[in-house]
Amino acid sequence: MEFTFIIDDVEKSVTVEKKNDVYVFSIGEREYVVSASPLANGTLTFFIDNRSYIAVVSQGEAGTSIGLNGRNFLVRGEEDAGSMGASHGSGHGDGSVESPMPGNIVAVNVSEGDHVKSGEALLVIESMKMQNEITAPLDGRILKVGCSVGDQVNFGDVLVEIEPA
Amino acid sequence: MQTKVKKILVANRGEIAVRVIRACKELGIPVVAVYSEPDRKSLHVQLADEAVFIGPPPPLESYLNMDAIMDAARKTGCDAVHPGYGFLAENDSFAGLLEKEGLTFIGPPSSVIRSMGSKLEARAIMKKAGVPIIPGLLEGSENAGEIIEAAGKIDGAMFIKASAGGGGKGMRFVLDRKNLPALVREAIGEAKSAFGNGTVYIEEAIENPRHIEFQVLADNHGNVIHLFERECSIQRRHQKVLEETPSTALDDKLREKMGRTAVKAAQAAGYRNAGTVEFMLGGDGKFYFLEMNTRIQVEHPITEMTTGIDLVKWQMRIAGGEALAFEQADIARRGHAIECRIYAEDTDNNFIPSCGVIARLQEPRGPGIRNDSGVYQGWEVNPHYDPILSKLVAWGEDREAARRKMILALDEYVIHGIKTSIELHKKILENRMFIEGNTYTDFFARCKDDLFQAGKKEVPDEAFIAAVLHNMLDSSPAVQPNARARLSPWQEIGRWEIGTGGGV
Repeated sequence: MEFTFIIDDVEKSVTVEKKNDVYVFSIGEREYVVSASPLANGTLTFFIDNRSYIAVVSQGEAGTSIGLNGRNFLVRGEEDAGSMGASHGSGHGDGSVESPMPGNIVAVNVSEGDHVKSGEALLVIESMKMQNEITAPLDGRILKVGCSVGDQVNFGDVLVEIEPA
Repeated sequence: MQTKVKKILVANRGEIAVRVIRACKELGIPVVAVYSEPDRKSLHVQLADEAVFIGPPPPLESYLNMDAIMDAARKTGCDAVHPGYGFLAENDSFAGLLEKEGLTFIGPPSSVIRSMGSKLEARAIMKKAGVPIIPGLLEGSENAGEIIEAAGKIDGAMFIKASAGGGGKGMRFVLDRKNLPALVREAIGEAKSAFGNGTVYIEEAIENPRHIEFQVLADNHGNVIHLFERECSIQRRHQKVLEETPSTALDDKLREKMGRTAVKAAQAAGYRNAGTVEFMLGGDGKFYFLEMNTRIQVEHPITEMTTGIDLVKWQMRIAGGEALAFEQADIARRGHAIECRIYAEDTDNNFIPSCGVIARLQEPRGPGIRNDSGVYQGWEVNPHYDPILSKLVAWGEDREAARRKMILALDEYVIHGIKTSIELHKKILENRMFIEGNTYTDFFARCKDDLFQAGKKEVPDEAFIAAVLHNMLDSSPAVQPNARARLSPWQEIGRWEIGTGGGV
């Protein structure tokens, strides 16, 4: 069987074959002999040679999370990866700046018609007592400012539209 | 003379409310929680004997709403209020209101909160008592011209600070003198809007500074003791990230001297209850009073782990009129403790807060591990309050044992559904500067290349093996979070970089 996964933006193809009690994995040039047993509590234990691993797995709307050796990995299949790429394009490349978090607008530094450089501070959102500066993703001219000081914004709300230079 | 408190209202939320509620229950004192709209299902509400709804999400309408909290206390028959940290903990009007209404504020008198809350007044009190203060101006002003003129008397780099300041607001670092006028005006403007008081003053910048604080306990019978230091130099945006005790920068002689000075500072302030005297320690071994925190500190557990004294329980006892059961000579330290503040935030993305449902939670265990947590699996982290999820504490026989124990605990700590600072803490603990004990307040600036990762990360083959095995064996349990999982912005709009200006 062959699988292609994208984990934290890294894509790898994996082939796996079941041989008796073990699985033989090939990833790139490397081969791994693995034995595995899922546990009822959503934990997966597996051995690569004699080395033991515990993976804590959970399913969220964003994809599958895997906790392994103190790191969390977000797994996406090929299809998810496609849509991910698309939303990435609309959210970033065309100069539409969306709110990355829910919060309150505490400062707006730009107005329509202003020219901004990539990295320039556009506005400040306060969330969890922290002030977070939102910067221009690219050089351009401000087409529209969609929020003002005091507004409560949510994930994905369009804050500013920039016409790329 | 006060009598024992009979019923306590906890005017806070999150992990500190949970900590205080547990202490009340241990002491056999009935305890009442308060909660805002989004906290209806929170852990502190579940653990308290009673809980009272106090208002909508914005802090001003709930956890900072003095009238609502007073009403809740009266309605439930409480005779004392524990403020936790943050919110109303250092609000002298709140403490004063309780005093007026005949309720006990579990903390110092309102007059002490007021005098220590003004940095200029605190500096004057300490100078008079012979406690060393950072060289600089003793008088402040809202007039930029006066401050700029007075700054002429100060050598080298300096800090502009707001007298009413806190959390880095109204504070500016001046390296190049030609920027001074602009920075003074900025600081005055910021202080005015943050505190309603634009008074600023100037302090000399200390070279290679460390942030060292001493825990103190003072009862109502004139006894004041210290419980040694906490090293809190590792900070970002003036917020502490990791604390430890003892500090690698202190030998026994300096520790004793600073401890005695901390007690002197608390006495000069007329302090009561648990408090913290903060010092700046320079590379030359000279130390200076920075400020006094008139509350229980976030990082109090490391002192509890190394001294064996339960600070929160002593807060209640002192408030009830009990005398300290020990003297300075009875206080001993044992081993080393480290605390990691586990925040809901994206540390590789300029620390932007991360909200959402905790889809999976597995806490670390083992001897010497303590996790003061305010969350549970299925809980939704909301944007209204401080992003602290829990405080993970590791105790070891020495610093290296505590460090290794903490790394293992972080490895075991699983939080799915939101981004957390767990991986960053591991990188700090594994950093050479930390291992060697070179922890200065500019630690993050010095080590940023080791600590933060922009762009793609290495993903080991083992993660892909786990993903495939999960796919083939379907190991997922039916995890049904209480609330609907909200897509995080990284899934909705792709990678974001804030403040760095770069693309993907």
